[in-house]
Amino acid sequence: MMKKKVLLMGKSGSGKTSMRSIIFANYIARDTSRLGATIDVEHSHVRFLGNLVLNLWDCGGQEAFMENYFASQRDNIFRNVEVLIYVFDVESRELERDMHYYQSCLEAILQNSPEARVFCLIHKMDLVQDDQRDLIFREREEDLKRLSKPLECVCFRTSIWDETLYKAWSSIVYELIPNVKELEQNLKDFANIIDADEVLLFERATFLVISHYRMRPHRDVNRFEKVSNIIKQFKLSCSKLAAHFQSMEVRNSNFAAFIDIFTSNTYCMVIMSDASIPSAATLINIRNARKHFEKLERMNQGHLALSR
Amino acid sequence: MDKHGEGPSLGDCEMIFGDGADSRGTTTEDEKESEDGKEMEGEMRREVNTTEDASGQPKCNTVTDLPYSDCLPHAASLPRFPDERTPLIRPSSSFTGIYSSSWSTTVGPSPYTSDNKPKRRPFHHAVASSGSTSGARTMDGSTIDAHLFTRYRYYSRLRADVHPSEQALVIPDHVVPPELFLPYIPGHTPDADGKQASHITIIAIWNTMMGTSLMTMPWAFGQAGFAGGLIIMLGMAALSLYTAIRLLTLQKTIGLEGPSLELSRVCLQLLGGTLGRLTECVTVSFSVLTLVGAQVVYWVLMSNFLFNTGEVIYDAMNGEIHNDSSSMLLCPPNMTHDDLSIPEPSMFHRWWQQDLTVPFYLIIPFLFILNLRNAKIFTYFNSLGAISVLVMYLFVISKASVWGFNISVTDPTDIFYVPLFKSTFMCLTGTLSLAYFIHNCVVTIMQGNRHQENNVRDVTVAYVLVAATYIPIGVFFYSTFPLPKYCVVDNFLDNFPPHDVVLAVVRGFLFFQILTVYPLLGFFIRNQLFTYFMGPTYEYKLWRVIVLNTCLITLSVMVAVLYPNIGFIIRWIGAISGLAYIFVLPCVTYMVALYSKDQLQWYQLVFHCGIILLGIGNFVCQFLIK
Repeated sequence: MMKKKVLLMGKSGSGKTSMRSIIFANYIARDTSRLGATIDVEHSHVRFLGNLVLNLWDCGGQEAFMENYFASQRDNIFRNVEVLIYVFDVESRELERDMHYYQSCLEAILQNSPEARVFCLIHKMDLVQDDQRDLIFREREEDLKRLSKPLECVCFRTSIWDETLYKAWSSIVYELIPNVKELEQNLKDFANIIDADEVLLFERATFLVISHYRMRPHRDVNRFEKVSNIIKQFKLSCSKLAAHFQSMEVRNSNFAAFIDIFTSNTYCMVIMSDASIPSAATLINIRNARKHFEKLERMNQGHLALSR
Repeated sequence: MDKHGEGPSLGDCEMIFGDGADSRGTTTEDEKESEDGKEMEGEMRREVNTTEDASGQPKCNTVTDLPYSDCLPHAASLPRFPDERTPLIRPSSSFTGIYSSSWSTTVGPSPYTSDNKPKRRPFHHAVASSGSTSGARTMDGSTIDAHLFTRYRYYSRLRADVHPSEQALVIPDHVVPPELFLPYIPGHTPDADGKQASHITIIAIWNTMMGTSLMTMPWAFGQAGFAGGLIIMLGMAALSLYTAIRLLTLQKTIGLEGPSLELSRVCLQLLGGTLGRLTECVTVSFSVLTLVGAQVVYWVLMSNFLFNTGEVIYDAMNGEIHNDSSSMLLCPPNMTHDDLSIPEPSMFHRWWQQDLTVPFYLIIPFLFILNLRNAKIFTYFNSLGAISVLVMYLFVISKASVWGFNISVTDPTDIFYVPLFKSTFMCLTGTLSLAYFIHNCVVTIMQGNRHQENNVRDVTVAYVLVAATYIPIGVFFYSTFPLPKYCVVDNFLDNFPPHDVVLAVVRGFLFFQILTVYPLLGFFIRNQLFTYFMGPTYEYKLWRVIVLNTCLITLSVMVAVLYPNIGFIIRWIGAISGLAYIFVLPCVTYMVALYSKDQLQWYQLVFHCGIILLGIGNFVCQFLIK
């Protein structure tokens, strides 16, 4: 199946590399300063949500060169795009120019991949005083929605120093899963059958929560990000040894948590509060459920292929 | 139950994770230092060859010596926690099939034995009592910090390979929780919750308030007459205390929840819109004005202290012994220029004059100091100020007991006559406005108090202590001074000759203390100005800082050379900033807050308007003194 692209674009210095390294648990590269005539494209062969590949583009820099390169390569860049994520720096003082670049990207999208989904992230919101954040975000959102017509863009406000980044990317991922409701229903059934307190599905590369089901409300609404960060740290440690993270079991007198590979695109995390259930039983259950969910996933991808 | 894992087994063997296949690559090359790493890498490489075994199943992730087709779980091998070998649980080792080996058994036994096992536990955040609250709870401080901390740790990990000067993913100052910025008190280690006990807070307030007005106190007291002086001193203390408490409790009065905000933000909330912006502008300008005034006064004082210290050293080097005992006192108003100019001024005295040259010499150390990056050294010197104050206090008491009372309030012909009330009382009110001034930072300081419910009590105690320091020094010194009262000058240290040993030491201490506070004031001025004009995330541009510092130093030097009367400066600054912060602002905001809740009574209105009028009167009267 043809690989589709996720474009992560934005002005130089808007925070894309940091964002990418946080979400995908990549080490920050040594030289993040982009000088010189080469436009930096990062082709990551990250299998993201099945068969999507993430491309990171720097827009802006030497203007004349940019325009040129853009013009000559643009069909190449913008073909086969599934998702465009455009990052705006809220502190930017050149709003006109930002909008200009954004619009040229949108034009290219319209021409080459008109079905693509567009997401706009207003980034670095921690630099805005918190009583002004809503106001500024609403203003930008209005402008962007207006400028994006006829395409529809979904806007998020983000900062790497609070939970908004994770939530934005989770929402993006959530929107890209074709039948997430069905997935959630299946998770619920799964949880009820195996007597679990909570079941989560993580996307494999980024540990973003795709869907989850919990029996009881939990008071910490941002725990997904925390779990995700902890696992990604662990993944980083593993990668130092060229080992791959596969599974984890954490247990104490109150609960047992199992994190395990689930389908080809997901991890699952199962929380059991009944300590008397042996782990082997849960692991078997997970393994058996795996087949079922794999089938679901295959169906979805087929569905996706047909609809293109 | 399946014997061999059906389903997606290929997925486990492929290098799916982007870390490895990324064209930029993870920099695993750099992590080859540890031998363990090398060893483990070798092992991993060995087995990732996905050879197939006889049954056609891919044999990935197996080490040849482990059984591979056994997948019946053994009840006996349930994982237990905590295993003394590894902090993480290895998955049930009996569960084979696709998971025919867990990574930990592949890699080898844990490097930790019971002897060298690390003692640290996973970082533990004390969760607030989970108690009875059900459902989603609002985030309290501890949960917020825990999340921030996991983020910080994760991002620090991502930065492992970059040079420390690289700024990507470094936690910015405005994100760091304020509890981490703690002031340095020697011998006092901050407690785990980052707050201070009451007595520490009281000392901090006392130290902050105790300033240069101390040296002006005797002169200012004299300007108001004996009875007038006492009444005004007590009255101003009480009034300042009252308005400080009003400011402290403003947020509660409004009913604003959440963390304590800065005064200007609270005003913005309260008054809203353009009136709020105007208030913010006014607050900032008054605050900056106060700080600039303080800087100027400091420069004058520093010149004074440096001059006197230079004199002492010169005299000591030249062997001039002053036989006159320490009871010799100076009367600076009587000393005209003729007295001062010695017939043949030595080279030293020509180049070392308090008003003309020393202020310029002071610029030299500042060229060095303003470039200092490590500000920690300043905090050590700050304690010199408190020591100096105590020394001066004891000095005055001892001198006063030696001199005895030299005062008469009844007989106008007596040389020590002091009228009960004098028409120049506004000097005292102006000076006291600055002496009792802490209103622009009282909220910030009290935030560090562990038991917030004691805030009002602690501020009261601090004010009482401050008053108990100012009033005796003013009253006793003035009352017992053995020369005619007009001799007392606005810096009482000038009434003593330079070679007085105790005072020379005091001057030295004070010089160093002021030397270190001066750049701090500069920093506050810079911060407030730039934040107001350019927002809290203004870029640090060196040239702006240099221009601002140059202007400030030029102003300070000019005042020190041309008009070094600190009494004048202090009472003006006190009147202006006092008008804003001590009189008007607390009363207006309190009244507005009450009015918005429809709780404003007529007597409160009258009372607070009276205070505002007092403040305006204080300000206006300053013009009346020639």
